[in-house]
Amino acid sequence: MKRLLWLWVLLAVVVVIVIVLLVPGRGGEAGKIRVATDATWKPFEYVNTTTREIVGFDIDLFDAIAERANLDVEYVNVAWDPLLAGMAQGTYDAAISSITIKPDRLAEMNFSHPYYVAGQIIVTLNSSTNITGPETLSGKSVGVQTGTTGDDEAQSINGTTVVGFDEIGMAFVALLAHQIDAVICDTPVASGFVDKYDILKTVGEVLTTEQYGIAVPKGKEELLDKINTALDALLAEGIIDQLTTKWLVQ
Amino acid sequence: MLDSTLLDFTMEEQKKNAPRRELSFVVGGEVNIRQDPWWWLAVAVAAIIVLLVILQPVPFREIVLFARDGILVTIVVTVASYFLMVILGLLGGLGRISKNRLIRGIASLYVEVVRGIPLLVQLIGWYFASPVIIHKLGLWLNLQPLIEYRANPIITAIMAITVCYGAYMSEIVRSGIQSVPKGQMEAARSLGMSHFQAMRHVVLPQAFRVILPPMGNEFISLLKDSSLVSVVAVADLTRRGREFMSAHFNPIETWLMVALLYLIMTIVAARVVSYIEKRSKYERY
Amino acid sequence: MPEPIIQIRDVKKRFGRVEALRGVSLDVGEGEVVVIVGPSGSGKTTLLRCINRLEEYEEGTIVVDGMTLDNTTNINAIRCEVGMVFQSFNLFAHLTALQNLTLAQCIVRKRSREEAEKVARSLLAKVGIPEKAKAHPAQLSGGQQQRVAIARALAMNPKIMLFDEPTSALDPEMIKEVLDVMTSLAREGMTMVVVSHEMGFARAAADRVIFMDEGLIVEQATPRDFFENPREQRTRLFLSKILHL
Repeated sequence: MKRLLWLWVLLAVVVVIVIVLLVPGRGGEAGKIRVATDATWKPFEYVNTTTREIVGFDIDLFDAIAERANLDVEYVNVAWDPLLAGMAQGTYDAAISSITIKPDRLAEMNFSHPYYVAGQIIVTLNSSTNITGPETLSGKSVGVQTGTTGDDEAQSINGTTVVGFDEIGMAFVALLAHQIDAVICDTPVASGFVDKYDILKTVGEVLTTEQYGIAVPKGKEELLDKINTALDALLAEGIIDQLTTKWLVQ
Repeated sequence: MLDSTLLDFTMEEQKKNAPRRELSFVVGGEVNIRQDPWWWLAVAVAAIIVLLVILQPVPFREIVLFARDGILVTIVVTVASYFLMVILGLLGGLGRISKNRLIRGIASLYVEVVRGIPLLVQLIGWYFASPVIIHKLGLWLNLQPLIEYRANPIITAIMAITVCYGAYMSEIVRSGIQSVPKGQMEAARSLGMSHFQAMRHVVLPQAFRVILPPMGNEFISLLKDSSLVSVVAVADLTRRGREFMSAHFNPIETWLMVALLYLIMTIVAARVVSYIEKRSKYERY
Repeated sequence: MPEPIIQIRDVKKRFGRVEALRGVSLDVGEGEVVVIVGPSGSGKTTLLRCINRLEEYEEGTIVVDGMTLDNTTNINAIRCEVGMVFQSFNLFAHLTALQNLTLAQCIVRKRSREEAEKVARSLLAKVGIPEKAKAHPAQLSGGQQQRVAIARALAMNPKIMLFDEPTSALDPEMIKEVLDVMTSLAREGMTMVVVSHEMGFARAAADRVIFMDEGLIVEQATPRDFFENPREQRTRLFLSKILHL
């Protein structure tokens, strides 16, 4: 019994030390703004697995905005749901994460001017010759990432069975395993998967047009103005083309 | 007197062969670690991981290297939550069988409510609700540190898991204590021990042996459930897997390696638990 | 005449609707050995357990060693002086025989470890199993376990020993060794209240035999008078059933 007791005591000490080390001060240094992003969406925001840095189209864009607006930025890598909820609550100062400007989101938070027009596209297996566009999806199963505009889009097509996944990678695994007939998601992500797996292809035209915006919580209008001023200037200078060349052209 | 000398004789023989141990054990039931065949499973899984890393370093070695801080976070969250949960479970279990109506009521309410809500929902609740509550508390009490409080996701995750699993642990403790025959408490009390002394020296030590196997189970269960914290902004192994997969578009390889890593952790944990169980076994009359 | 060490007056106890004790009065003098017999459900075990307050009574009074048993008494202090031996032994299964004896001594009587061990070893020798000190209860026979249980109660140096059917759970060949210990204890002058079916022991060692039925004391007498000349009809009925000679 004594030996077990010592184990517990040792464990207790370790746990206490770890917890003490983990509890932060007042999160973040003074003056820095905390920008949330869900870095699992290549090429807009993802983690460079060698350097562990958060990189991507959105990151470069916001870095440029920060420089223009004289802001000190700290990126916080958060999962999608906590990110949106955090924006509604004001936990973060801003968020840039391929966030589509939607009416229900506008009710919860503010958005900057739109900075990118994105679209959804259908991805299928090469062998699926009978799927050529949204009309041909009737009676088929379509995988999406729940809560995204891809989800909304798939729901709006009549006659499809929408299969929701927690994250888009799982939808593609299902597609590759012939469990579903197609996947609908953002064009850059679709390109990424189609490039990686020869047996996938995109079909049809880009389905929607949606606009990405930088989210800012309600109550931080001053910050929003700074961001918009810088953003407008950068857009006028053609930053989107530069970034598109860097990140989106294969 | 023949039978007792025979018993003594066999006991002497056993003593010569048995290694010294602090805990009592079933006569003839000694266990050597090497004799437990399931350690081979752990070795096999470790071998698979090593093979994958060596034979196909891209992406497997990269995955392991990238995810290593996530592994640490997973272990820390699991161990910290477990430790706190045991304490909470002890309190809850004792509370459930307390003679005091109020304590019993509170403990029972805690167990019933918490057991009725899925862990994921509780995690999300803690993560989103606690800063709001603390913030409001800060406004009400006018305490600046509270107003500016920024939740540490790991702490809230540990708290959520502790509260959730603590309820299950309370039930384990309660049934463990109730499994000790009532006569033990009566004998202890009739010797003049107070209720507290009887619990501490007689009932709880015996309850412990009943509680041990399910306790080990809870640890393994907790280790796997810890992957849920990735949903509330904790960079654990699962989250790292997600990040890697998004950067390289290779869900199959990534999740295979992540699964193997979880598997090796749970298998090792299960072996440790089984070892502790066997060492503390004895026969009850 | 010194005060009886146990005074029970008009004790009533019910379990829910059932009246277990319906007004029992009994005095036990110091050094007296009292054996209580009766059919099951007669309340004899309940009465015994009231003496060390393992059961609480609703009406009446019990005074043990000058201390009244009610809600205000320090029950632990009384229990030090009243040892109890159970039908199912109730040895602490996770401890050795020696530790069973020393645990309460150290915690309750606050004796030092060495002192407690000395007492324990001498008691184990007294009940005839000194060599079993390091054995766990699971490794002992029933008779040995009960003897350890008796030693454990004696280790607290009680003034009174209560026995609740101590041999009823034993294999027949082990009954004698336990009864021998009890008999020698009686001879040494211990105050004992024994609930038992062992008529041989009652005849040999008791100062008084008490017959209980349906929550009341029906008859009490010396062993000779009790067995040879029972007064009450019910006593005779009971004896005729029990003594199948």
